[in-house]
Amino acid sequence: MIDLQHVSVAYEDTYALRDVSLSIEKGEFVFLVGASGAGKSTLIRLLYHGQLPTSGKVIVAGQRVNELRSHDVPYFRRKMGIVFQDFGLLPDKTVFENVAFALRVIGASRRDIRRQAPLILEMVGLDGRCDALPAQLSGGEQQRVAIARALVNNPPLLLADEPTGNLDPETSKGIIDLLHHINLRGTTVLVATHDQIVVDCFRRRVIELDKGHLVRDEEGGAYFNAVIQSSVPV
Amino acid sequence: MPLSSLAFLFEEAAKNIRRHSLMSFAALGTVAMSLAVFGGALYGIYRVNQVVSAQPSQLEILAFMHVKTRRSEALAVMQRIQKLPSVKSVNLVTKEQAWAHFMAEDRLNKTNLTTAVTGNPLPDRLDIRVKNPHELGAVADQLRNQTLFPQIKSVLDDHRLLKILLAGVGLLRVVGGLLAFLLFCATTFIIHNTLRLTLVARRREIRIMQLVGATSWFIRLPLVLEGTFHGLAGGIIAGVIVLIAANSISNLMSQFQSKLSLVSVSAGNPIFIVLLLAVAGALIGMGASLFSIRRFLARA
Ligand SMILES: Nc1ncnc2c1ncn2[C@@H]1O[C@H](COP(=O)(O)OP(=O)(O)O)[C@@H](O)[C@H]1O
Ligand SMILES: [Mg+2]
Repeated sequence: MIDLQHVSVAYEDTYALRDVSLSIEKGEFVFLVGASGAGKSTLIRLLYHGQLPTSGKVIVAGQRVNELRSHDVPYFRRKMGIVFQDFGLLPDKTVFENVAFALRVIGASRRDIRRQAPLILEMVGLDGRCDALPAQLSGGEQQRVAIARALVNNPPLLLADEPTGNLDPETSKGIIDLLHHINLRGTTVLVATHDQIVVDCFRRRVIELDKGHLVRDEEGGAYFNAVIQSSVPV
Repeated sequence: MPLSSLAFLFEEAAKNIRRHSLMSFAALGTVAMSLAVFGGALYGIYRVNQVVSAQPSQLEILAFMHVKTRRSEALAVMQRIQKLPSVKSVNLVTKEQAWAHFMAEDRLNKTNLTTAVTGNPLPDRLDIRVKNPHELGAVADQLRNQTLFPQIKSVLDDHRLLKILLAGVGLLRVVGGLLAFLLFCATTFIIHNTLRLTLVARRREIRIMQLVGATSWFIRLPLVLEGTFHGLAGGIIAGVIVLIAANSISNLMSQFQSKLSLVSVSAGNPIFIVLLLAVAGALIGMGASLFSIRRFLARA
């Protein structure tokens, strides 16, 4: 589903990513971890053509992202849902309208919208709050709306950049639970986070970046590498 | 494009116009104002042009024969002039007619110029009209050519007034063109600016649209519709202003015409000004919005 080969992203004076190679299969659930500034957001941006690599190959859903022509980018992005730390909801639209918006702007018919939007809202546990405005929701609920919007056209891939960054630990667990549930339905999920609790709690594949380098790729890992952790006095 | 999408685009444009009604109102007013000035200048040029080209009496050349030239010769010259391509009509004023006219005027004005004169000192005269006012000078020069027309003693083409009018039209064209260009830039800038504010206000919305895979046309169209609407509405308002102003302009023109003893011309149907300004406004609105959105999306 995702394939990075010797990918580097350079800014004038620094590298945000340096010679990163990794591969994520269809149906996987992966945590992308690392300190602030490690390059997590940069990597996520590469995957949705939000940014191009300075060198190396980025392949997502069979597409070489570097070679996409600008008028193909919208169709490429329909193959993935994207979720951010700030939920990115439209404040003057209701929950239902926010989710429907994603379908309307890709030209879906009213019938499809009426069928799909309630289903997805039910899945994220917000079927009772369709007519609420984002300001009337808790942070966790707002993120659920954002997830629903990202998934409403059934993309095979979900990218989440610090989805729990603005949430308390209990709510964060709920959100990651939801992402798990989504993963179980077959969606490939990549979550960039520096939230130790959720990573340690769920123990899935962990890819760690440090100053742009890929330093760890571990199945069923914790937030901190076991070696490092043992060397840290408790 | 499915019908629901089209409905969506129009809904979004309408919603945005309503939501930013104050800004819309400002944009609309400014567009209307600059287009009204533009339309006014255009209408002025059009009217002056109309009046100038409708001035046959001003466009006459008087060709005086030698006093001794025989009537038959004068008639022959008249026929030759008639055949010149630029000439519309030639009229022979015989020396007798001219003398009678002169004496009548003399008596009327009590100037007593004719009492001392014995016999008729006046020559036969040809009054020539041309088809196009611009050709007046060239035809007069042709008649002055003694090898072609030895029978003609002198030619009078007093078209100073015409020259002034033609110069006026020329000036109006240059000034009007310049004005139109400046106003075009101003209008474009205003619409661009309004849209820039709209775009900034809608940055979040546009970003979401881009992330969920809306095509760039889907993002642009509501905004282009909005810009086009501002231009169109501004153009129509400007047209109505010009239409109302056209009446007073016409009045002014008729005074101007009678002072200069010009033939007056009916204003014709100035509704075309409204149409023209509406179309111009819509095009400017569309162009400006396409331009600013392109710039915005390139930076986004
Ligand atoms: N536009 C930019 N210009 C210069 N440096 C940048 C830019 N964006 C990110 N960086 C740098 O790239 C590195 C990685 O950033 P980022 O991908 O946001 O890290 P993370 O998401 O892991 O916190 C950081 O050192 C950051 O300062
Ligand atoms: Mg980040």
